[in-house]
Amino acid sequence: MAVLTYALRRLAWTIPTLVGALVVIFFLTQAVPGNAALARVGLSVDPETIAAVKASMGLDQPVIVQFWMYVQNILQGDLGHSWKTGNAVTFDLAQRIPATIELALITLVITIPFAVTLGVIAATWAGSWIDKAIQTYALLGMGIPLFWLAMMSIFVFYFLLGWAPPPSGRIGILDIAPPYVTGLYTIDSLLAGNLQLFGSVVWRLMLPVICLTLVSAAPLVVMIYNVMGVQLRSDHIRAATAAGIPRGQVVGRFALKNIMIPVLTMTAHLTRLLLGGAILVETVFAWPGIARYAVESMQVADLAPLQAVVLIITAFTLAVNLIVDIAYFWIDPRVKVAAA
Amino acid sequence: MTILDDSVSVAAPVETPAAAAPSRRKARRKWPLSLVVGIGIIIAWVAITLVVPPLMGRSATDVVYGAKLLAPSMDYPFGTDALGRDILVRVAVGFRYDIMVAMSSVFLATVMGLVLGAIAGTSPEWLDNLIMGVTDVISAFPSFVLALAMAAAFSPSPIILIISIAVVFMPYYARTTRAVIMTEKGKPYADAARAMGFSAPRIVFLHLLPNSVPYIMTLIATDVSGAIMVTAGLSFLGFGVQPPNAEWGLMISEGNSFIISGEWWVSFFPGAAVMSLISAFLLIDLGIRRIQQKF
Repeated sequence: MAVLTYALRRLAWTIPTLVGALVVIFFLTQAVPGNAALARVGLSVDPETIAAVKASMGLDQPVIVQFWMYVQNILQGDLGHSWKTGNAVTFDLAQRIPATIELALITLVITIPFAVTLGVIAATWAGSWIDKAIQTYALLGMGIPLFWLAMMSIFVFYFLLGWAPPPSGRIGILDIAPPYVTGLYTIDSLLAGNLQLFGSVVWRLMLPVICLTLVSAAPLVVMIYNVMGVQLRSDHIRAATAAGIPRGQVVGRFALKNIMIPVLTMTAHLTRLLLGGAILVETVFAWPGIARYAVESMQVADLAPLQAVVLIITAFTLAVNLIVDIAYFWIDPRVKVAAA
Repeated sequence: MTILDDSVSVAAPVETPAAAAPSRRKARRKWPLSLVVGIGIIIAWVAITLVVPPLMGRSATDVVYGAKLLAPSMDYPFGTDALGRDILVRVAVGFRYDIMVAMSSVFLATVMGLVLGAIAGTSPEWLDNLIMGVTDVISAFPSFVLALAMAAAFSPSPIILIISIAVVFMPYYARTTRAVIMTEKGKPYADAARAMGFSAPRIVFLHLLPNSVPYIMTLIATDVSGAIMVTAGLSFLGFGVQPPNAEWGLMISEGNSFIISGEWWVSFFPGAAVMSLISAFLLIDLGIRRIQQKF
């Protein structure tokens, strides 16, 4: 029951932040003067027409009224119109969201065990060569620009070695997308029983996922390393070691259990990383996801898609934070005591 | 906060500044290797950016006709780009953009954070809530996404770039400063200053605020590295430094279309440059932390 109360309180906390985010997104796009009306009718139209179009779009209203209209539209599920694609933004997004989700989800599933393993190994054998190797990887991983790593991997694995496909999106030019079930091509192609297509889809996911994983795991490795280091120096681990319990068990059974909560925090953190990284990876690999949609729209000053994508990403981030906080409350009794 | 959003403090046993003070001289005797290497890389970059362009006798925008997309050679150690410009010179000059934008934005973020945090920590509750609410909203966005949206909303220029990055990096500084002011303002020395009749701004800025410096110092090196990443990333997407300027992220994007045809050097060298500079600041950060651990 306490969890439910906490969840509701925490949700009530999120709403003002979301409203604030809406204000920011709305006013950022206000900074571009008269864009929406001009974009719709073109530059070579007489002022009267522009004024009429402005009025029809509600752009002659005070800013507050416009903001209220914007919020009302969002609540009704209307995210505006993209003049570049000529579609409703919701329509465009529906087509592109699965591509981003597939990329992010697979990366997330790989990154967490990868980072935990490296962090735990480095902390357990602190000072050894393997620790140094992992530390070096973490430093380089945090220092490398993601888009550059992506480009260099294309050069090496596509141009030089021919192991990877060209950076042209989710499926090959000659492939036909699997029948729509989940929108995730990996799952859909398996459901359709088309193993050849599945292979092609996985092949195309390979480089983007590896690049995203290598970069987003690096800061997590450092975090795990620090948390694990503290754990291994703690009294109960020393006691267990002194009691003669083998090292493998001490690490695996006692220390590992206590780093699960930080790992939970990291999941929230990782989604933020991935969504930022997705913008760059999607651009380099011509991945037809929402991040690339936003960037392409921005480049021609088409602002509705940008507003929508920033809103979705932010709302998603807030939701993940919310879920993680509630899960925290559920798992860790100390949080319950502090909240009570 | 860095672009990597490295702000989740899983294990953050921050020592008090008072405890940190006494043995500073002792620690200075031997600098950690990472600090030395980090500073060394930056000094090397300063030297490169000053020496290379005159040495090669070309500027970053000089176009050599008939020298398009030449592979690295004795004449052009880093090769030339699609317009026939010397990539070595452009990489050397690019350092100036990236370091200037990154350092100015972190400086601006620090100043904004200090001022807002100080105001929040000393003002009535509604204003405090308002300022903290604003920082919460900013932190709600993934930092790269917000910086991108801001940079895209205005016409691209280095100033807009600096402001965008600064706003995104500001919340941590504001929150830290506020927390420090909150704890410090009740201490006896603050009472003493008040009893001596000093003005409120003087007490806040000269007496209370310096206490937040140790906390903020630890973050600056990481943030500069994050700011370099954002600068390069935004320019890569076309919302930062504009052509024909030599900026690393922009140069990498100029090489993007050549990567599948094998002209790797157009984007390889600027990317390696970004990596070396970011790593330098990360190493400095590591070194600073080692020194702090010794206290």
